[in-house]
Amino acid sequence: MHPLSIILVKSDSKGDRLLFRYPFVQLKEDNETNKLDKKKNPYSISLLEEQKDNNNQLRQLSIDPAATNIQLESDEVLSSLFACKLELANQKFELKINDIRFVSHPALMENKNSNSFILINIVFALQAQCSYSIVKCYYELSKRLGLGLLYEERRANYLTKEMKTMLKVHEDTIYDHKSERIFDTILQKSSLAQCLKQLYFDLCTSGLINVVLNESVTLCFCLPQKAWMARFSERKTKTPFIDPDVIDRAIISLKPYHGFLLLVDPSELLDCVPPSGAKVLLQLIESYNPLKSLQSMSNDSDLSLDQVFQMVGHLVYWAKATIIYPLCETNVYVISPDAPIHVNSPLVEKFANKFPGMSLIEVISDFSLPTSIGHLTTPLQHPARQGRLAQMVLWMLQHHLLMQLHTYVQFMPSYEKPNDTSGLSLSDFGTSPKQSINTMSPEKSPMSDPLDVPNSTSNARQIPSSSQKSICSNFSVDDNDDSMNSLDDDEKIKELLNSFDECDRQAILKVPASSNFEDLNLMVRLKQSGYFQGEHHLEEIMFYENLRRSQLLQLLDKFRDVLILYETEDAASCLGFK
Amino acid sequence: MKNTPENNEVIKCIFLCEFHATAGTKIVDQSPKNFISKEMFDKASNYVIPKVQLAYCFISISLNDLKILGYPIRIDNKSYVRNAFYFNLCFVFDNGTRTFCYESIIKKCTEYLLSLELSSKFLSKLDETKLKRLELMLDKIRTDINNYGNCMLRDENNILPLCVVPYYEDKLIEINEMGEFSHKAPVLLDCFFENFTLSSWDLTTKMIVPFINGFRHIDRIAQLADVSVTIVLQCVKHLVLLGVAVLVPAFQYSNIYRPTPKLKLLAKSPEVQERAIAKCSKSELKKAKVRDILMLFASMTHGATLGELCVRFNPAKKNIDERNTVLFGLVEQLIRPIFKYPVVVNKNLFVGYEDMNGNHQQQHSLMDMNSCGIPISNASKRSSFDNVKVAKNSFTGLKTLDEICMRTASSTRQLEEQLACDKHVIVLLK
Repeated sequence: MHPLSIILVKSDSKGDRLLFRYPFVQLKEDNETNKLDKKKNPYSISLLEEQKDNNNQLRQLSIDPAATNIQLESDEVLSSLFACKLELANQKFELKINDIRFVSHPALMENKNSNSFILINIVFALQAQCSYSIVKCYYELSKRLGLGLLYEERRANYLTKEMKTMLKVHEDTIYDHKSERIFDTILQKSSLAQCLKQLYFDLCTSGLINVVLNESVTLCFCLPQKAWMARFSERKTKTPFIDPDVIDRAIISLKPYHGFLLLVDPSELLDCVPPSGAKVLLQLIESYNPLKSLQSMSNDSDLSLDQVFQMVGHLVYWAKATIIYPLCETNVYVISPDAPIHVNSPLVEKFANKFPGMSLIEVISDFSLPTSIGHLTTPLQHPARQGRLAQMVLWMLQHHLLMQLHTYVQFMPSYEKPNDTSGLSLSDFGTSPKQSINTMSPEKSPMSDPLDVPNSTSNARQIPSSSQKSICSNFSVDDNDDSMNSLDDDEKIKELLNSFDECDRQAILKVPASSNFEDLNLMVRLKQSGYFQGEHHLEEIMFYENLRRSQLLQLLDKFRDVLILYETEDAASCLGFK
Repeated sequence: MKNTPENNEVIKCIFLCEFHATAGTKIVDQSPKNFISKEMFDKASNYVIPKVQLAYCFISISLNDLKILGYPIRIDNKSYVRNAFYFNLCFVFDNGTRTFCYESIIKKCTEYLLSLELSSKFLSKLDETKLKRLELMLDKIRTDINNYGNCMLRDENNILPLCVVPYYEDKLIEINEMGEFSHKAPVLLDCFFENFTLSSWDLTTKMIVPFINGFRHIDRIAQLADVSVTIVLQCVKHLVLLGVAVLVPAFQYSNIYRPTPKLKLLAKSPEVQERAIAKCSKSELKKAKVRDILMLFASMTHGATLGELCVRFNPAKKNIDERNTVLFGLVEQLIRPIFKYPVVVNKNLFVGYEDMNGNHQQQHSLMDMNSCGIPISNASKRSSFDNVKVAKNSFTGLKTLDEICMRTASSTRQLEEQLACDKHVIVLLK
């Protein structure tokens, strides 16, 4: 996942040149001496690592033998490859040679007045087996670097200055063919070279980049796969590969009732945003509280919900935060399936350090069966105990040891119809079945009005249904309508029942609560809004419909004959842990 | 065994280009004709006929949503006009294709062309008949590989067998991370029976297929089929790699499951429902109802074993075969299994339940009464004692109860009883 090398190539009216590359340890000579050794003693095992003792810094980063291939390719060959034709500029450039993949964005700046041009190409050399998403990220980085350099060039001729410095070093040392010395000197003299070196180290270690070009342009970049892998370093087996797509999906599905949990100290956050975003970040952090929802944090911090979503999304991308449902007594937690709980796990020690006297395994065993904080403690006990348990739960959530389970509702009336063996009615397929299979994707836009009904029903409204049985309009009756009085209760109930499919009606009638107008009204309202299709959990229904938990639970209990409830995790915000 | 291709047009184009003495880099022939336009070729010309040092390397260049993969060749010989001859046989794909599997084909074809050139100057002295021959070759390679994944190229008197080598690295890493899985049960997916005939498989597969029912674990299959466990493990590994089998926990009524977010598909998708009814019904005549199946899945939770659920729901009465239903749920990923992991802790867990004398037993002792003060029968005590010594080391939290049971040849119930009495072991469910 880390780059094998960063190569800087320029092409302009004077020709093309490989200006700089990092790392630049020349291993040719060592290879030759080693070969001689090999011939002398056929039984000795040549360790590739011994050759790399030249550079102490490089020893800390494990470099593949494949890297030596790049060293053996001469600079001229590489420059002729990367100083590409102008037609290939300003788009993705990807070249694979045997085991190495080169990716970059050749940035071209044309000066029409003087008919000159500058093409600068910052190429990343990666291992060929790198996944496509990583290659995409590196391309993005190269693009930003290129554009940043061109911006600085237009503003202050930064690029020409740096190129001049580097070329001068190349020419001065022309008699000494050891490019290692040339690059070393360039590193000392050129700030751009130092920038690239810093970039290389950051990519190899944390995957988080914050560099400043020419002391004025800040470039912030993150390799989320690497950043998240560092978070999971405690898991010996199967570190999950977090694709940026997974993160994007989680960010899109952010809702106002979600909350977020910081995975690092607030002090570590400032380096992940450029200075322009620092103010928004600080405002958000001031009102940060894992018990609050994004909506309330937005109100408290005077930021718009949109800004809050964007900032939280950014923090998740940078592996500094994770999306949760705000902590409260009724949240049901269970041990995460891939939680590394074993006797030798480093997490056990970490937990003991943070919470002296408590053992991680014992505390987490309480969550073997799905429980909530409310179940484990009662208000009658020492209040500090609940607080301490909440702290421990937060710690476990930060380390992805716990997972939250939500209850989902599926409307499925039971009835006996001689011909239909499926136990379902057609009205559940308001959209065409093929469409409904593909709507595993979450809601459209978190920015939409919170009272906007979920995806499935809005589709039903757009598609003119051929069958009269499909639900096309909202039949629920307004509670505040004073003209309705209790004498018309039966009428109203009849109307509500008409909104159901023929076969469903039978099942509904069997439920005793259907004779109660309020209950039936609420039931119809929720069903019409599409909440009973197994895609919206109780907390979401409570938030959007302004119901108390007790109200909702009572209703679900009354109609339990036609509803099926089950507990499972929230797929969208779970970041794909299996 | 036939390689089923995913889509028909993986190779978009094959072309042969060379460095002509006067005209420079140009395309000699391409199949299909005129796929690569002159401008596009000009953009890529630097990379298909590259600098001298890069000959005999696999070079792939991406541009315009296309990926061109080639193996450039350079022949040094004074007989050529410029003392050298360069050519490259290139395959063109869509940008996202994984091209690793085609590299060996390209190499083989290129080496064949190289041998033709060295022996009879086939490429450098191209005339009408030779061009025709070349065209036929390129066409055949492209169509056969696209349609069948392999090609038996016949050219004059030469036969060149070509085959796409699928890339299994990712899946292989996944499987190797699973470690020892002889306590799991393999399930053969539908595609095993639909896409292949039994006779086309190897001997081991043929021997064990009759015993694979989705409920038996590998150890038992090996016993019944009279094949060594290591060989069966290898065979199952290959089946999983090829995508015709998956591994699930061995069926027991004491297993625990829980629903996944995909469960809503059972209510939404008619195809899933059809499959559900087909697989979960007890018999052909009496079909199960989707609602009942959904109810069964929805009630699966950490606290309820399958046995308890069956007692509660009486699936037989509703024409549901619970074993097949669970298998269906696992294969379609509507439910997932919950495993039990015993972990040893230092602390005495039964503090507070010690016997009246306050005897604090630090080590696992064999009294007639366990530390709860409840007398346990001699028989179970003795049998569990032997297992204790063996199993104690495995209570690390990394092995599931199933695995330990299989290794120690004890039943789940025995082990669970023993663990309940052991004051130093916690059982985690995840």
